[in-house]
Amino acid sequence: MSELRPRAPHPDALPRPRPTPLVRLALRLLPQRFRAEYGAEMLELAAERELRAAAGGRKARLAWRARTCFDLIRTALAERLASSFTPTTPPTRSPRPRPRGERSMSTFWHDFRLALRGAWRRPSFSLLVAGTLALGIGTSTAIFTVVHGVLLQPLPFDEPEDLVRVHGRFDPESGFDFPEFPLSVPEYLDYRAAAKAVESVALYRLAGLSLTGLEGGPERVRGAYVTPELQRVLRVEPVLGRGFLPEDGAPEGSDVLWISHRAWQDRFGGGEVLGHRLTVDGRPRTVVGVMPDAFRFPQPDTQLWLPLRIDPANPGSRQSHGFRSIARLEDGVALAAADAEMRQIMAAWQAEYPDIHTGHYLFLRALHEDTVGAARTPLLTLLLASGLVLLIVCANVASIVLAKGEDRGREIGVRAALGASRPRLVQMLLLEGLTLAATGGLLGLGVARLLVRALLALEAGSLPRSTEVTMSPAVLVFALAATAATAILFTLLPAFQATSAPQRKLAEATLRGTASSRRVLFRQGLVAAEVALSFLLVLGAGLLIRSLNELLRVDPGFQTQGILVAGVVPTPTQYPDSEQAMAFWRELLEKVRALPGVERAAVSSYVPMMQGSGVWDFDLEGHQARSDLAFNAVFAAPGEGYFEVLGVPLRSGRVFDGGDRLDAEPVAVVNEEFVRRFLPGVDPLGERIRVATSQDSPLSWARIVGVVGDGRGESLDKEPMPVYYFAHEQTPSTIGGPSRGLAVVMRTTIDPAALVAPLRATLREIDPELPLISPQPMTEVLAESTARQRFTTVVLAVFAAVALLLGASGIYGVLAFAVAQRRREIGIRTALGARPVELLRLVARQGLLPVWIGLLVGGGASFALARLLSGLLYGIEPTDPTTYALVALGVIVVALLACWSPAVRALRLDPTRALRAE
Amino acid sequence: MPPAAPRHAPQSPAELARRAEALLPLRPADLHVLLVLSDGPLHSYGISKAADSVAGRVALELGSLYRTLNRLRTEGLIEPVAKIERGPQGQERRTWRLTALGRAVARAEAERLREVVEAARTRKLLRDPMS
Repeated sequence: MSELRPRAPHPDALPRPRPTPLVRLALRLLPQRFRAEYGAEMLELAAERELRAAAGGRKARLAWRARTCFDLIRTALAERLASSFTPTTPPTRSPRPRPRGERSMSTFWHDFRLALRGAWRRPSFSLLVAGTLALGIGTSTAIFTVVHGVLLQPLPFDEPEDLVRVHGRFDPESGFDFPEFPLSVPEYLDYRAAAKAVESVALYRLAGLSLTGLEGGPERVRGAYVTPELQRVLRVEPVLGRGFLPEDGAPEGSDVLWISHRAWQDRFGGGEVLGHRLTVDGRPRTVVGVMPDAFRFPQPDTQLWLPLRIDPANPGSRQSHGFRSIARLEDGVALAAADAEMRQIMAAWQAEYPDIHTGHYLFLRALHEDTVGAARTPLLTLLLASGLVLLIVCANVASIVLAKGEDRGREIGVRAALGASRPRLVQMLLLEGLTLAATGGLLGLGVARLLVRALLALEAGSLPRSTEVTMSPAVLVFALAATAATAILFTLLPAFQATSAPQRKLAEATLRGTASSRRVLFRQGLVAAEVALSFLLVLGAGLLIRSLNELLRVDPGFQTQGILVAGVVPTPTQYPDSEQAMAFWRELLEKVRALPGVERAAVSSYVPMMQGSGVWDFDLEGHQARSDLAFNAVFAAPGEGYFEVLGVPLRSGRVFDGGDRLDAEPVAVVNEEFVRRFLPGVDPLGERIRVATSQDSPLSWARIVGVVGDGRGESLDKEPMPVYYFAHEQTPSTIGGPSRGLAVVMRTTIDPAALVAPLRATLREIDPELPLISPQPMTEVLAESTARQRFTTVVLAVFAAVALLLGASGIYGVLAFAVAQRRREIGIRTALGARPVELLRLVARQGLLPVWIGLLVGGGASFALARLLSGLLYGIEPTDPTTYALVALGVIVVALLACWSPAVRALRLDPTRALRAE
Repeated sequence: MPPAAPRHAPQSPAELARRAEALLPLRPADLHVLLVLSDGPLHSYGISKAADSVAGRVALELGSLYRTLNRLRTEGLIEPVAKIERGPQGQERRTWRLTALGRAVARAEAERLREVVEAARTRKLLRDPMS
C-alpha cells in the first residue's frame, strides 16, 4: 500500500533504509526522554547495521534482529529502572549508597509505580483478573455481611451475653412431645421466686393488635404484652416518658402503653405524643413512653407494648401455657450454673406436682442461640460455599497469572540478569498482584453491596435479625483481609514459580519459546483444585435443589391455587356475646360470597401454615388416655364449606353443613392421623369427643361424623399433626364461646390477589373499626413456609454456577495453552499420519487428567460436606448416589465442552505451518 | 557547602585523578567506548564498528551502545562535538569525544586492569608473554 503513496523526494535521492518493524517497535519501549535524545540516531544506526547483517544471509539477519530486539528490551527496562531511581538533575552518580530503609522504600514505590503502569499497559489481562477477583471477593463479602449481621454481632442489648430465654418442654414421658413450649403464669411466678442465679425474669406474650380511630382506617399492628420486669431484664428505658410501673402490671392497672420509635415518627411526626390516647383492640389507652429506635423486641416490627397484668393471688391454671419468658443472669453467673439451679428447682416441682411436672419442665437457652440458632447451619454453609468460590477464583487467577508469566519469563530473566535479587522480583510480582487485588477488592465491595441487597430481598423473612444486616466496619475489615489473602494466594506461588532460575527460563524463552513442563503441571494442579471445589459446590447445590424439589412435591393435603386467606378479629369489647359475634360472621360471609370472582367462602379458626388456635387437651367418651400418649391435638373450628374451599378430601362420613347449628347436636370431624393415633382399630364415626377443661362445668360432647385427609399444618417438612374440628356455629356450646380470631378463606375464579381490595371494602362496610389481617393468596403462604430452603438453595445454586463457569474457563485456559505449546509435536504427528481421533485423544487426555483428579479429590471431600448438609435436606440422603452421578456427569460434560475448542484447534493445525513456526 | 564546580571546568590533574578514581571500576562496555574514543572523536556508527574490532569480546548492540553513551555522557566522561557530521544518506550524526575526565578515567581503569593482570600473573594464572 505504501508504494502507492506519493513520497517527497529526498535531497540525496537515495532511499533511506528503515529497520524492520519489530526493531522499531522495540525502540518504542525506551523511555520517552531517552527516545527524544537518541531515537532518530538509533533508528539510522539500526538500519545501517541491518543492511550489514543482511549481507551475511537470511539467517544472520534474523539473528541480528533477535539480538537487537532483545538488547533494546533490556535497555528499555534498565533505562526505566534507572530513571526511576536517579533524580533527573543533576545527573551525577550518588557518592554513597542511600540508607537501607530509604532505599527499600524507594524500590517499593518504584515497584508500585511499575505495577500500576504494568496493569494499565495490559488492560484486558488486568480487567479479567480484577473482574474475577471482584466476583470472588464480592460474593464472600456479601455472605459475610449477612453472617456478621445475623450471627456474629452482639444482640442490641446491654451485656446481651447474660440474657436467656426460659422455655417449657414436654418429654414423651409426659404423654406429650413438645421440645419447646410456652409457660404458664404460675410456672413463671414460682421460678421467679425460687431462682437465685437470675437477676430478673420477665413474662410476655406476642399479640396482634387492632389500632382504630386512625385517619387511614383501622390497622393491624404487632404488639406485645409485657410484665414491668422486662425493663430490668433488657435494661431498656423509654427515650420519652416513663417505664411501666409495678402497678401497671397489677390486675387493676391503668390502661397505658409504649409505642416504638418508628411508630412515633410515622404516626405522630416525632411530635407531642405522651398522654395521647390510642384505641387498641377497642379500648382507649394512654401513651406513656416512646421506646428507643434500636429496641426491637420481641419482634423486629413490634410497635406497641402493653402491660401484662398478673394477679399473684389468682394466677390461673398451671397448665394454661401461653406465655414466653426472658431472664437476665446474675452478674458473674454462668449459664451452666443457672442450668444446674433450674434442675434443682424442677426436681422440687416434680415432687410437689407429680401429675403436671413429670416429663414437663422448664429450661434455659442463651438468647443469642435462641434467636439465630436455626439460621446458623444454612448461613455457615453459605459462608463456606462463598469461601470455596473465593478459592476457585484464586486458583483461576493464579492460572491466568501463570500463563501471563510465560510471556514474562523474558522480562523477569532480564531483571535477574540486571541484578534484581529474587526477593526483589517476588516483591515486584506481589505488588503487581496487590494492585490487581486492590482493584478487585474495590469492585468487590460494589458487587457485595448489590449482592447484600439481593440476598435480603431473597430471604423473605426467613432470616432472623435481617434488619440488623449492614456493611459495618467489620465487613470492610473482612473485605480487606479477603483481598490481601487473595493477592498473596494468587501471586505468591506464581511469583516463586516465575522467579526460580530466571536466567534458565530466559534462555528457554529465547531459544524455544516454550514453557517448562513443571509449570504446565502446576497449572494442571490448579485446575484439578478448581474442579474439586466446583464439584463440591455443584454437589451441594444439587443436593439442595433435589431436596427442595422433594419438598415442593409433598402434598400439603389441601389446595393452594386460586385461594385467598385473610384474618379478621372481632374484639370482645365490640362483640361481647356469642350471638353478636356469630351474626357478624354470618353477615361477612354472606357479603363475601356475593363478591364477583368468589366461588366459595368459609371461615375457620385454623388455616394450615397460617393461623392456628393451638393444641388443646380433649376427652374421648369411653376411652382412657395412655400414660405415654395424652389426649391432645390441634383444635380447629371451621365453618360450613371450609373443607370444600381448601379441597381437603373426605375419607368417610360427612363434613359440616348448614344443619350444624347451635340448636342441633354438636358434631366433630377428625383427620386420619387423629384416628391412627387415638382411635386405632376403632370406627371413629359415632364416637364422642369434648374439649377437656379444668373448670367445673364440663363442655358439651360432640359426635364424630366424619374423617378427613391429613394436611401439613406447620410447614411442608413437618409431618401432619392430629387435628379435631368442631363446627364453628356450635362453638358457644362446645368451647364455651365463639372463636374470636378467624380467617376467611375464599376459592376464587379470578386472581386471588385481585380480591383483596373488594374484601377490605366489604369488611369496612360491616364494621369500619376492624382491620383485615395479612390477606394473602394461599400459594404465597406455602412459598413463605419454604422461604429458608429456597434462599439457601438459590444462593448455593448461583455459587455453583459461578464455580462451574470458572472451572471450565480454567480447563479451557490450560488446554488452549497446552495445545499452543505442543503445536510442533501435533504438527509432526499430523505429518506422520496421525488420525484425528488420535489427536483428539491426545488433547482430551491432557485436558481431562486434572478433571479426573479433581473429581476424585472432590468426591472424597464431599463426605465431610454431606454431614454439614444433612440438617438442611428433606426427603433425600446427603449421600444420594443419583445426585453424585448426575453432578459428576455434569462436571465432565462441562469439562469436555471446555476442551472442545482447543481440540478443534489442534485438529485444524496445518503441519507445515506449525513446523515452520519453530 | 561550597558551590559545585561547573562540570567541564578545567581541573588540576590531581583533582581529575581523584574524581576518576571514584568512578572505578568501569563496566566492560564503558571501557570499550572510552578506548575507541581515545583515538579521536567518532560517531556512533563508528563506535559500534570499532568496538566490535577491539579485543575483549564485548558485543555492543544497538540499545546497549546508546545506553552506554548516555551514561558516559551524564557522568561527564564523553561529550558531543559541536560539529554535526552527515552520514552517507545525508542524515545528521552526532560525534562524540572524550572529556579530560573521560581520558583520566580510561587511563585509571587501564592502570587498574594492569594491576589485575599483574596479580593474575604472580598467581600463575597467566603465562608471561616473554617467557
